[in-house]
Amino acid sequence: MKGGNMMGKRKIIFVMVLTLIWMHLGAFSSEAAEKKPIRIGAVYDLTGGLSVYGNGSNMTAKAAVERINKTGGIAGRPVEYIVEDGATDAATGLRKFRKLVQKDECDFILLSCNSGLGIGAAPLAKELDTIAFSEGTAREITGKKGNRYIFRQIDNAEMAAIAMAQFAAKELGKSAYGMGADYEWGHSVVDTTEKVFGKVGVKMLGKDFSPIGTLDFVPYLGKVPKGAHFIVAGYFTADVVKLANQAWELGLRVPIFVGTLQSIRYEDLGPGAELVWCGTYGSRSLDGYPSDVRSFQKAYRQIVGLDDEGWDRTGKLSAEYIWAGWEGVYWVKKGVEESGWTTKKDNLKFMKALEGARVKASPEFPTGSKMMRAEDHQVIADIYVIKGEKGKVVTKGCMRGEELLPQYPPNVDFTKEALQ
Amino acid sequence: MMASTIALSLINGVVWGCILSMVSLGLTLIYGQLNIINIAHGAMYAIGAVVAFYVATFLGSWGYSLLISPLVMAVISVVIYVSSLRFRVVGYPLSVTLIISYGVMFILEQLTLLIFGGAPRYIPNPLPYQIGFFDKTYPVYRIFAALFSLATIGALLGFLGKTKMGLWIRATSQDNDTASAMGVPVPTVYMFTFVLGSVLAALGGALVSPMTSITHHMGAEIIIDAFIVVIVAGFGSIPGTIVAALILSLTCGFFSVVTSPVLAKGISLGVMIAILYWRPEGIMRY
Repeated sequence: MKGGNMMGKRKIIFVMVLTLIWMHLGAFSSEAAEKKPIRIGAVYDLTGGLSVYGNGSNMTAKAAVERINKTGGIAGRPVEYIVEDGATDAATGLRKFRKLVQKDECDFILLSCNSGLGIGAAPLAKELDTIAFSEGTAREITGKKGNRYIFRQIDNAEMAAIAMAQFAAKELGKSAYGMGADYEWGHSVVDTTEKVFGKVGVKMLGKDFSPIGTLDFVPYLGKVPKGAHFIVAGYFTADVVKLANQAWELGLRVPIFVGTLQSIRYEDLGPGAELVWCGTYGSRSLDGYPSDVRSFQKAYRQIVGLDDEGWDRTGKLSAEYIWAGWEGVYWVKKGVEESGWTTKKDNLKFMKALEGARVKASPEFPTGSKMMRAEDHQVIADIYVIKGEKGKVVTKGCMRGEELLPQYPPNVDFTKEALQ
Repeated sequence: MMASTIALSLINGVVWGCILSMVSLGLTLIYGQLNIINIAHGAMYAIGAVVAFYVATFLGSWGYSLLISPLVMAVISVVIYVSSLRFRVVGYPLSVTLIISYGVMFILEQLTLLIFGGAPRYIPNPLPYQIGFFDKTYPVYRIFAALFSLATIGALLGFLGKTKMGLWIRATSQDNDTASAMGVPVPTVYMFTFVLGSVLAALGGALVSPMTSITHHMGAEIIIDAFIVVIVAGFGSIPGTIVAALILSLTCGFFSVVTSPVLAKGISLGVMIAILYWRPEGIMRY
């Protein structure tokens, strides 16, 4: 009987010791997590057709991480930044996303402007329980093809069309012809522009989508009807230059509303440069920003190495899009610090902290005050209309985020989505 | 409207067919002679255009690039051949040179990106005139580009048919052992052919540069079509290359007008597959 009691006591002591060890280890691991660096991975297109975006965002994201580390890190933890080349290919980008999470153990991922990657990443982010920030601008990234793990820190193609609509009927005309690259973003630009411009009385006379990497637009430009007052073009970089010049060569003297002018110089748009318009996500020149934002923009430009005209030190990257890398890092910082995030088990807290979060214009958010809308994780920020004029690309207008918000309702609600 | 649009596309198809023939001939020559599938051909085309951009910018005239781009590529291709391919041409499996040329492509593309940057550039049209037909206009420069391509192809045929080096190239292509026994300097012929093929790619890039945007990866736009042309033509066939390039460009151009561009590309590739089904050895054997 006595021996039985002794056995019982020993068991109790053994369990207590185990419990203490477990609690100690728990505290230790929590303490370790608090000191462990936060790893931000990035899939940016450093090569291929989108390299002018990828290299720019990489430059600004890296600068943001360096700045944060110099000033105490995120919630006292240092930040490590690992970049992988998405090579302007969604499948490659998804492979790199997986590698950054599974091999490099990244906590958050910044995604390039490749909309195919942004859409493909949503289920992967969920599977890997990793929050990602996309710079792709196809509407559906923060629509029906998104999910609660994906945030977008940049406006999208439909929002650009809304900003452009105020100029459309007056500056461009009442009838348009749509052309775009045959993938998610190209369709997004043309289709959302058709929808938005339709509300201001602009009629789309027809539309055509060409394969990515089209060598020559002449056969397609030949189909533009005589009655079309302007062309809506869902193309980027090299295709924009090609389209503008080939339209001019064919004698088409109509305005072209393009999806982006990132890193395209006025002179490379050829003789028809003055006819090119673009709805975009930042001003190229410093003086194109509203006065309440300009000083913050100047501070940011000095840190990352952009001049007042909007060119980097090499003269090869322009400013209007690439701030997304910088602000992406600061959205991570805000989410971690406001939610008390320590590891991925706190992902839901992080999401809730950013859902509906507002930030004021500052060097951390140099494109102005904005809101991360709760329902669709879409940032609502100021948006710009730029065009070729008098030898350079100038800003013609800015639609503030608060004006944009009522015109762009969400079509999903991720806040109701339960995590796995 | 429809008739004039179709006519415009057909003219444009002939123009691109001529340019594509010239670029594809470079691939054909290199494969026919050295049994190398030169994946780097597209990167060489892009370098031709990039050099043309620098020539137009710094010398003030694009015209010089028709000489300078091929010369620059001649130097680059000698370096590539001597450093990577010289001892791996004869007796090695196709996969060895395939991997080498794949690596060369990456190196050339990344070097171009490093020097030229990722932003697209433009060369002002050296012949900024249009000719009118029906209710359309067509750029005169494109017609010049087609004529220049045809002249280059003609010169190449003349060179292969009438000169000593041309005879050596043809002899080596048919039987390199016998050619060697007859005193033909086979290694020199190999190197010369590789340089000649590469030069044609660079010349194509320089010629196209005022018609399109110039980027470090622009070779990707033409290289797939060039490979299709070479396969459908019959490996090593010069007349077949011209016919296949014209068929591909004309079908793609025509169907772009009557249907969607994506479907047009699919149809044109379908036509090429049908030709291969009909003649698996290619359109022409020589």
